[in-house]
Amino acid sequence: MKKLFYVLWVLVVHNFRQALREKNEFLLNLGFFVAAALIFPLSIGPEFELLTRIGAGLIWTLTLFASSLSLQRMFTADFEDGTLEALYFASYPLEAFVAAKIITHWILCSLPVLLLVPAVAVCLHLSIFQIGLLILSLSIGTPILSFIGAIAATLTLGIKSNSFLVPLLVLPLYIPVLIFGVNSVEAAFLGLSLKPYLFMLSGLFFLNLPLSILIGAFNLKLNLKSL
Amino acid sequence: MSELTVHNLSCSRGGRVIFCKVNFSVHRGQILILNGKNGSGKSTLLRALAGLIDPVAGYIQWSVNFSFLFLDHKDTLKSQLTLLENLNFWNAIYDTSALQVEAALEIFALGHLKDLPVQGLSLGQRQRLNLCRLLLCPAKIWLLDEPKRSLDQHANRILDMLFERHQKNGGTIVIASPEDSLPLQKDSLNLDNYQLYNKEDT
Repeated sequence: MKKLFYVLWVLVVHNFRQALREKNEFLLNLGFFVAAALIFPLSIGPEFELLTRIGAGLIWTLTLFASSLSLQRMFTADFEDGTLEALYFASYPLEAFVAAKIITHWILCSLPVLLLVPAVAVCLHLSIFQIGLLILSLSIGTPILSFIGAIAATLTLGIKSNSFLVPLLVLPLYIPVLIFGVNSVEAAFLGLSLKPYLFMLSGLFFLNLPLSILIGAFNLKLNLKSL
Repeated sequence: MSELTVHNLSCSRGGRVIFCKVNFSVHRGQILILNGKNGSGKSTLLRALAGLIDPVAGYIQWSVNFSFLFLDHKDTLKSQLTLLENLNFWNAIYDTSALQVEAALEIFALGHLKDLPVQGLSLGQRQRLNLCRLLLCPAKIWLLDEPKRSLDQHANRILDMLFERHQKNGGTIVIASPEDSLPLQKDSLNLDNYQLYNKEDT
C-alpha cells in the first residue's frame, strides 16, 4: 500500500515538473476563463439584477469549458513518446497512472480557476454568500469533471487529430454535474435547502472516482494493444 | 530449458500478413538477432513478443513471469526536463538505488550534460540517454528495437559490453536490427525467409 502511494507520488511530481516548465498550458486555461467571464457583462449589459441572477450559472459553464479544453492533451504525450508502454512493462499499475493524471489535471486546470472565482464573481456582481456557495459547489464538482474527462481522453487516445472530439464527448456527460452544481447555489439564494444538491454532487464524486480510474486504466490497456 | 518458445507464428498489420510460420526458441543467456529487410517484420515480431500485438496464428510462450525491458524508437524522454530528472523518474519507477543514475550517465558519457534539458540533445545523445535505462531496469529479458541507431563508435562498444555483461549474468536479449555486427556469441533469425511470397513459391 505504501509502495502504491509512493509510485503515485513519483508520477504526480514528474507531471508537475513538466507542466511547470512549460507554463503556457495552464496559464492559457486561466486566461480563457477570465477573458470569457469578463466578456459577459459587456455583451448583456451591466444591470446588477440580471448579472446576480445568471452569474453563478455563467461561472459554472465557463469552468466546464476551461476544464474540457486541456483534456485532449492529458494522455497524448505519454502515449506517443512510449512512457505509457514503458510503465506498463515495468508492471506499474496503470490505475495509479490514471489517478496521477487526474490529480495533475485538477490541480493545473481547475484549482487556479477556483482561486480566481472570487475575483471574477465580484465583476458579475455576486454576493459574498453566493461566492462562498459557488466555491463550495465548484470544489466538489470540478474533480468530477476531471474524472469524466479522463475516461473520454483515454478512450480517444488512438484517434489522430481529436482536438475537438474530447470536449464534444464530455460536455453532455458534464450536464448532471452542472445541474446539481448551479442549483445548489440557486437554491440557497432562493432560501431553499441546498443539502440535496450537495449530496447529489458528492454522490457523483464518489461514483466517478473509482469508475474513472478503473475504466481509464482499461482504456489505456486497449490502446496499448491496438498500436 | 528454453525461456521463450515461438511456434508457427504469423502476424499481420493493417490487414497485410507481415510474416508467417516463424518457429524459434530462446533459452536463458541467449542473444537473438532478428534481421531482414525493411518491412520484413522485425519490429512487429518484437512487439508481438512483448504482447503488444496479438498474432493471427501460432503462439508465443514465455516460461518466466512477465517482466522485461522493451526499447524501441519511442524514447520516453520529456524534453523540458533535464537528463537527471528524466532518469531519476525511471529510477524511481524501477525501484533501484539512486547512486546508479549518475553512474549510468557517466557510462554513456553524458555526465557533463546531466543538468541540461533534454531538448538540446542530438539524436545520438537521446538514444544514449534512453539506453541508460538498460542499466537501471532490473528486468532479465531485453527486447530492443534497433538499439544502435544513431550511435557513434564509442557508444556502440559500450553497448556491446553491456550486452556481454547481461549475457554473463544470465540475461536474455532479443534485438531487431537490419545489420548483424555484434561481436558476441549469438544466434540470428532472418525474417526474409518467412515472407508470404516465399511460401507460395515452394
